[in-house]
Amino acid sequence: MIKFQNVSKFYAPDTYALKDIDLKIDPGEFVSIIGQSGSGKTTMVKLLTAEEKVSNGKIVLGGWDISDIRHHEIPLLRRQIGVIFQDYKLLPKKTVFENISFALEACGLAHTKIHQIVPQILKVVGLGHKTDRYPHQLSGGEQQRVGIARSLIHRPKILVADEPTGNLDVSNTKEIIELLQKINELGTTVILVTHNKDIVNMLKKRVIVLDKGQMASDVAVGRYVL
Amino acid sequence: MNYTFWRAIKFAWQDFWRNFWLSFVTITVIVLALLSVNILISLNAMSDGVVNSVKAKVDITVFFKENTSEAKINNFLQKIKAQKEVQEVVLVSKDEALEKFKIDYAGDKAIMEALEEVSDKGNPLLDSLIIKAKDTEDYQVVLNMLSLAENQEIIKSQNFTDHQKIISRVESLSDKVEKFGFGLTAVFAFIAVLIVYNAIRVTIYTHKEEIGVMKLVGAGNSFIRAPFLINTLFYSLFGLIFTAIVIYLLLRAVNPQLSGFLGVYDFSLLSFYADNLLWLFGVQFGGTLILTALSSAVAVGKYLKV
Repeated sequence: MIKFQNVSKFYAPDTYALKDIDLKIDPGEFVSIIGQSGSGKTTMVKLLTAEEKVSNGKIVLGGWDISDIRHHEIPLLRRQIGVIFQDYKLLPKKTVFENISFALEACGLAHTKIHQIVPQILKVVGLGHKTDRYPHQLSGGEQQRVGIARSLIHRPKILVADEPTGNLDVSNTKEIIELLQKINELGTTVILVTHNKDIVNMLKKRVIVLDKGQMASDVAVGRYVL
Repeated sequence: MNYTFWRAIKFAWQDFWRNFWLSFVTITVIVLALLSVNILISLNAMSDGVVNSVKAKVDITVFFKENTSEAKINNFLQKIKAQKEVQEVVLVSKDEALEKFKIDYAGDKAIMEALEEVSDKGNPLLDSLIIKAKDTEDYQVVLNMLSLAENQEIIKSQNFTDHQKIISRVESLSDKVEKFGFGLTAVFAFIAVLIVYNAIRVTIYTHKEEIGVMKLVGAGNSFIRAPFLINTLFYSLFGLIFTAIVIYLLLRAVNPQLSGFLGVYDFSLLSFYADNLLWLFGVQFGGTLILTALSSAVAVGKYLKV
């Protein structure tokens, strides 16, 4: 369960990136967050991953109030939330396998376990046959799938996708969204931040609309209305 | 935890090689700083060696009057030995003195002929006492004692080999060189600290993608920081190794010349380094590591936002 309780984020001298946001996301939900540029979508993602701190209010993640999270607890939080980005954030000099194993090494997993987990995760995202390719040898959709695979290494309960299809064509976009849906069906809460009207309309899931940092609407089965 | 530790070392090692030229420049500056430290140590050791050697040669030789009885000489000897300023007293009988004289000048025909002539009337040499004080400042006390009337009754003459002027000159020169050396070392050390700081800053910048991914997937803060701090260990270790190699080569090259100059004073720089190798380089390694680690910690704290 994710709860935003009267959350505001203020940047001096006079900018509210988010103002009085109140919402609740249940486990296993698939939620799309839409809004124009500057509406506060990315700020919301940053607050969830503790990249920024709330100026006011509380964010509760599965009973854990992360509003005032301590510095040494941030890595623990980030292991519970998978995040994917528009620009994939892959390491260009590492292969597909190494991009995922690097993340696992950084979290202290044993060598043998890494070699068990990585092939499994790559199979889930459909890249089991391309483990030794480099990012520049993959299509945009495949690179994003590597990004998704990396975000799943800790089996997070929450997956946040910040404009994951922003750099992709229609067919790759469809593949990625289908993958996200598949992950959601397995029980992971998915929060999709997007500009893409077609995706939102196709999904027929809950849609939260942000406008100038405030909640404009929250519809259980929504459409892209801006 | 073990995996994390060894992986941090592995990542640090990869960074070290990936930024080879940066590492090379950093180590070069550390070597220069350590070389200036070692030059200072060597100059200090040489001047101490020379001074100690010269001090060891300082003594007072007292010649007794002819026909002074053995009992009076022994009594005098005991009085001198009892002085707390006196380190050593050696009695040289006239016979022993004659034997030593013959050995020392065996090759000098003229002196030996002169000795033979004079020896007809008996041993021309006198019983003597060689007095060594514990410190050069103590000789004045001994001289004051010798000048007492009761002692002057049996003393024919005394000879004080005073190298105080040489000692003062050497110490004064050594002092000036030391001050200059400290200044030079301080400058190099400061440059080394800045170079390490900059090297870590550049390494952080060139690894910002990897750091971003590590933060994203929840890597521990200490794991993200550790490779940059471990890099200072590599800088210090390689800096010390190359310094040791340079010093060894330099000593081997200049030792013949130095031996010619310092041999008179019974001092060898090569032996000094051989005898004190562990603690000399141990202290230098420790000092370098502390300085570079502090510099790195400041850079990491400022530029690595975890």
